[in-house]
Amino acid sequence: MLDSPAIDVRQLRKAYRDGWIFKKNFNALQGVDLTVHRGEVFGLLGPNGAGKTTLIKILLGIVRSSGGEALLLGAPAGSRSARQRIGYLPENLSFPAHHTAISALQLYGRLSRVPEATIRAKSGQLLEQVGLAGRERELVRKYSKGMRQRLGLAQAMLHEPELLILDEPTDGLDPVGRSEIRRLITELRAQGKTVFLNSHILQEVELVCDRVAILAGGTLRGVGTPHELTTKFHGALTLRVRMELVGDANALDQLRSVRECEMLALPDSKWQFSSAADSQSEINDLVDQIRQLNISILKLERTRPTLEEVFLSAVNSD
Amino acid sequence: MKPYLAILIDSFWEALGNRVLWALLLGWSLVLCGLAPFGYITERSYKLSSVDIDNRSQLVENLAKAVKGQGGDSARAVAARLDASFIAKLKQIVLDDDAQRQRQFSQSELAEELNKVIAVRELYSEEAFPTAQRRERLAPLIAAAENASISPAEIEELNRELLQLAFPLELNRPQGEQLWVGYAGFKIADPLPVNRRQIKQFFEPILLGTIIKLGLGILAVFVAIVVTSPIIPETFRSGSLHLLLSKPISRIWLYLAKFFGGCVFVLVNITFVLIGLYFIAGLRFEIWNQGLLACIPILMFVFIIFYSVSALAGLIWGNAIVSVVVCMVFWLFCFSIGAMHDALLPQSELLTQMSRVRKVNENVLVVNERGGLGVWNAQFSVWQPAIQNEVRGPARTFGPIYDPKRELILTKAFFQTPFGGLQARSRKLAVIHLKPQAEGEHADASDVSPKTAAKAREEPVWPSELGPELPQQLFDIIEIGDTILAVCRGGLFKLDLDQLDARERSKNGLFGFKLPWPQTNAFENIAPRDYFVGANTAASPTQANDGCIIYSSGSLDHFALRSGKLEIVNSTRLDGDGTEAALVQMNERYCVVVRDNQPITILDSQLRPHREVELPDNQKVRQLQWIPATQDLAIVTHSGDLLKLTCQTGAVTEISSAFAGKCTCMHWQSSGKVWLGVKPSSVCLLDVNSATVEELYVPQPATLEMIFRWAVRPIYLLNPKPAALDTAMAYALSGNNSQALSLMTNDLEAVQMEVDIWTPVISNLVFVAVVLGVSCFYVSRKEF
Repeated sequence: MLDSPAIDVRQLRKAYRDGWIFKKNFNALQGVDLTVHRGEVFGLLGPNGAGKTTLIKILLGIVRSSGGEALLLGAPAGSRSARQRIGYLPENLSFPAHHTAISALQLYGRLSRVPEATIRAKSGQLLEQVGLAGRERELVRKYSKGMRQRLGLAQAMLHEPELLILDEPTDGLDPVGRSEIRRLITELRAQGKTVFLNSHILQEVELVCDRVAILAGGTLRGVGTPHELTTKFHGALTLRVRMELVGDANALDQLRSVRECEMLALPDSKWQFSSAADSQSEINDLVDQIRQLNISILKLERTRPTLEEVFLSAVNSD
Repeated sequence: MKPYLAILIDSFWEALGNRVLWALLLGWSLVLCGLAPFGYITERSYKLSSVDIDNRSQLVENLAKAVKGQGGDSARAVAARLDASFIAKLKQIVLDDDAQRQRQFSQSELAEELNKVIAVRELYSEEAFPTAQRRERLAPLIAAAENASISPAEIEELNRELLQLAFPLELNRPQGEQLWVGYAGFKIADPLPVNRRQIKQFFEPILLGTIIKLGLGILAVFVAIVVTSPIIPETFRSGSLHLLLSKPISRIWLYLAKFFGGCVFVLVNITFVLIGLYFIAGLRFEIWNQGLLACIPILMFVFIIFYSVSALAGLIWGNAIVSVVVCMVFWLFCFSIGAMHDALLPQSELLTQMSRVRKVNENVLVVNERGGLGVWNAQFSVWQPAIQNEVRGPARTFGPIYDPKRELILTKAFFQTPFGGLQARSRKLAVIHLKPQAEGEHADASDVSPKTAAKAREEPVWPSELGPELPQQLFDIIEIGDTILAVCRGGLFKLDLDQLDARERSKNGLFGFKLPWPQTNAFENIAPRDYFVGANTAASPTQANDGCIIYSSGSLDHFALRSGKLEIVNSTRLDGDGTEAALVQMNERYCVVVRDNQPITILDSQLRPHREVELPDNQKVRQLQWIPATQDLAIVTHSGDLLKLTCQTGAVTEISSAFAGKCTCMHWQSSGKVWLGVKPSSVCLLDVNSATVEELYVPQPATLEMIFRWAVRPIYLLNPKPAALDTAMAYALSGNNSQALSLMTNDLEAVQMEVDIWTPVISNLVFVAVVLGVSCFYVSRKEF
C-alpha cells in the first residue's frame, strides 16, 4: 500500500444523465488515465466543463464513476479508509453560521475521528499557520471569503492526511494570501505530503506544481512537468517578429502556408508574426524564409512559452 | 467522540444559535407570563349568583304568586322578607305572560334581591318550613338560631338552605363555596356554575388538550417546520456538503444525525412550554398533571412525522420553501382523510351501537345510541324503526318499558347536547300499543312488510301516540314491579297507568260520543315531602322490586315502596362532591355505586361501606345489572367487555364469549342467558354457561356504513395519522381509555369513543420509518 501511487486512475469514465423523460447523456470523463505519485504537488488544469470537478468528486466518492478504476492511496476512491487519509478543501466552501474557527475545527476533527486532545493541541498551531490567530473566537459568518478559505485549509490539514486535494485553494485570497498558500504547499511537499491541486491560476500552478495534467472535454490532453508539456504542445522557443510588407501582397499567405503561425495586423501595413520553434537553427531557417519573401524585419524577439500558452495550445489541440 | 454524535451535538448548538428559537422562546415566555396570573378564587359563601338561578321564569312566577298570598308556606315566608320595591314590581306581573316574566327581571337582579333575604335573621319558622328540622345539615343551624347564638355566616347558610326548600326547582343546590376564575387576584365575571372536580374533568382532557393541540400540535409544529426546513437543504448544499462527504462518515448516518438534530430545536421549545404550563396548571389551578410532561414525546413524534416529509422534500428539491409547501400539502391530505373518518365514525360505528335490548312478544327490541327504537326485520335482516324517531344525533333514551297487562310500550328519547343537556320537541312519552286498537290497525311487527331493505330501515313498524307529559328535569325512568317511576329534579313521580286507560276509553267513545281526554297530570309525586334530587342523579329498582336506590348529590337513599308511596329505609353520604355521573344497583345484600373516575363502591344492605373495587386495565363501567338469582353483578365496560363482579369478595372475572371487546349493552333473561348488544349494531342471545350463541341478529350494513367500512376506514388505517395522536395526548392528560362524545360526562351509559393509542402510533411509526428509509436510500444513491 505504501508503494502505491497517491492517486491512480485507469480509464475513468463518467456519464451524466439529464432530463426527466427524455434522458440525455453527457460524458464528463472519457477514459482518463492519471497517476499522482506520493510526495509530489500535482496540478490539474482545464477549462470550465473539462471534467476536473467530476474527477475530484469521483476521487472523494461524492459521485460514482460510470466505468474504469480509481484508487486513492491504494484504496478504492470514495471508500471510508481512503477518505480517512485525505484532506479536502472544496471550492466555494461554506461553514455553518453558528461556528467559530475553533468550533469548526473541533467538528471537522471529530468527523475525521481525530482524538479530542489532538484537536485541542493542533487547532491553535494550524490557525496560526494559516494566519487566523487572534480571530479564532469570531463567528465564521463574519469572516471574509479569504479567511474562510484559510480556515478550510486548516481543517484539511487537521488530521494530518497523506493526500490533500485542494480545489481552488487561492480563490478569494489577496496576493499576500496567495503567496502564503504557496508557501504552505511548499512546506507540505517538504513534509512528504501529496498535494493534488486544482486551480485556474496557471502561474500559481507553474510556480508550485511538480507535475501538471491538462484535462479538456473529458479527456486528458497531457501530463508531465511544465517543461515537458511546453515541449509537447508548443515547442521550446517562441519567435515573435514585427515586420513590414514591402513587395508582393501574397507574401503573407505564402508565409502562412510554409509555417504554422499566428499573424496579427498592426497599423501602417505592419504585422506581428509568432511561431513556435524547437531550436535556434529552426529560427534561423525561418528568418531566411521571411527574407526570401521580401518582407522587412523591424524587430525580432526570441522567448520561452508560458504555461498559459501551453494550456491554450493543449486545449485547442483537437 | 463518535462522528454522528458530533453532528447531533452540532445540530443542537446550531438550534441554540438560531435567532428564531430565541424569538419563539421569548414569545412563549410572554404567553406563559400572561397565563400565570390566572387562577381560582374561592370564597366560602351561600350568597346567590346569577348562575344559581336555574329557572328564571318559574322563579318569578312563584315569587309573584307568593307576594299575592298564593303558593306554599315556605315561598310566602320568603316573599314576606323581600324588599318593598321588589314586592311592588312582582305584584305587577301577569302570571300567564311568560315573556313578561322573562323580561321583567334579569338573573343577577333576582339573585341580588334574594341575597337580601339571605341576610335576614328571622326567615325560619317551623310553620313555613316544617321539614327543615329533619334535615341533618339544618338541624344544628336551626337550634343555634333559636338559641340566638347563630353567627352571620351561619344565618347565611341556613337561609340559603331555606330558600332551596322554598324554590327547589328554580334554584340550583347550594355548594357553600363560590368559585371564580381570577386574574392577578381579580375575579373575572360571575362565579363558575361548576366545582373544581368538574373543572378538572373539563380542563384536563378538553381545555388543556385543546390548548396543546392548537397551540403546540398545530401552531408550534408549523412554526417549527418553517424554521427547521432549511436545515437539510443547507446541509446538502454543495459548499458544505462536499466537505462533509469527504470525511470518513456514512451519508445515511449524516442525514439521520442532521434530521434528529433538527428535532432538538422543537424539543427545546415544546419542553419549555409544557413545563411552563405544568407549573402554571399546578401552582395556579392545583392540577398537577404529569400527562402534560408525557405530551412532550407525543408532540415530538407529531413533529417528526411532518419533519420527515419536509426533510425528504428538502433533500430532493434542495429548497426550504418547497419543503414547507410539500409539508402543507401532506398535512392537508392527512387532515382531509382524518376529518372524513372522524365525521363518519359516530354515524356509522358509535351511534349505531345498541344501548338497550329486550324481547317483547317474539319481537327483539333494541334502542341505539341515536335514540332509535328498532325491531328486528328478519326478511331484510335490518333493524326496522319501531316508531318514528325524532332524534338524529346522540340521544339518551328512557325505556322501552313494557306493560304486559296493557300490552303497551313506553319510551322517550332526548337529544343529548354537547354539554350533556337533554332536548326534545315535546316532553311527552311515546306510547306504542301492541294489541290492535281498531279495525285495520296492525299491531304486530310481523304484519308489516316493507318492500325493500331501504324502506325497512325507514318505515316505522308501529304508529305511536303521544302519552302523558314527563315532569321537568327528568333523570331516569325505572320500573319497580308494576310501578313506573320518573326520577326528576322535583321528586319521584309515579305514572298513573289508569290515566292511559282513560285516554283509550275517551278515544273509543261511549255510545258513539267522543269523551274529552282527562287533563289531570298522569305523574304523581310519591317521594317523601321536600325530597329533591340534584344533577346527575342515578336510580334503579332493587333486585327484589320492592323499592329503589337513588344516588344524588352525594347522598345514597334506599326507598321502599309501601302503599303506593316511597319511604326512605336507609340513607348515607358518600365521599366526593356528589356531582359525578353515577350508576347504582341494589339487591337484598349489597348496594353497588359506580361513579365517574372513581373505584366501584360496594355497600351492604344497610348502606354501610363493604369494599371498593377497581376494574382491571382502568376500564370504565357502561352498564350494570344483577345476574338473576345470584349475588353477582354483571358489568359491561366501555371497552366492550362483559365482566362479573362478585360483591362478597370483590373479585372481577370476565364472562367469556366470542364478543369480548364488542359488548355495548346487556339484558339478563335468566342466570344463564343474556341478551347482548354487539358492536357495531348487532344483538345476540348468549348462553353464558356454554359460551354459545343461541340467537344472533346481524343487520345488513347501510350504504353509509359500507362506505365507512370498505373505503374510509382502510384508507384511514393505511394513511399516516399525525392528528390521531391527539388521542394519545388525551389519554396522557386524562388517563381515560375511553372518551365521552359530549364535553361533560353526565351519563355513564352513553357511548364513548375508545381511546385507541396504538393504531395511530404504529401507523405513524411505520410512515416515519418508510419516509426515512426512502430518504436514506435517496441520499445514498444521489450524486451531489
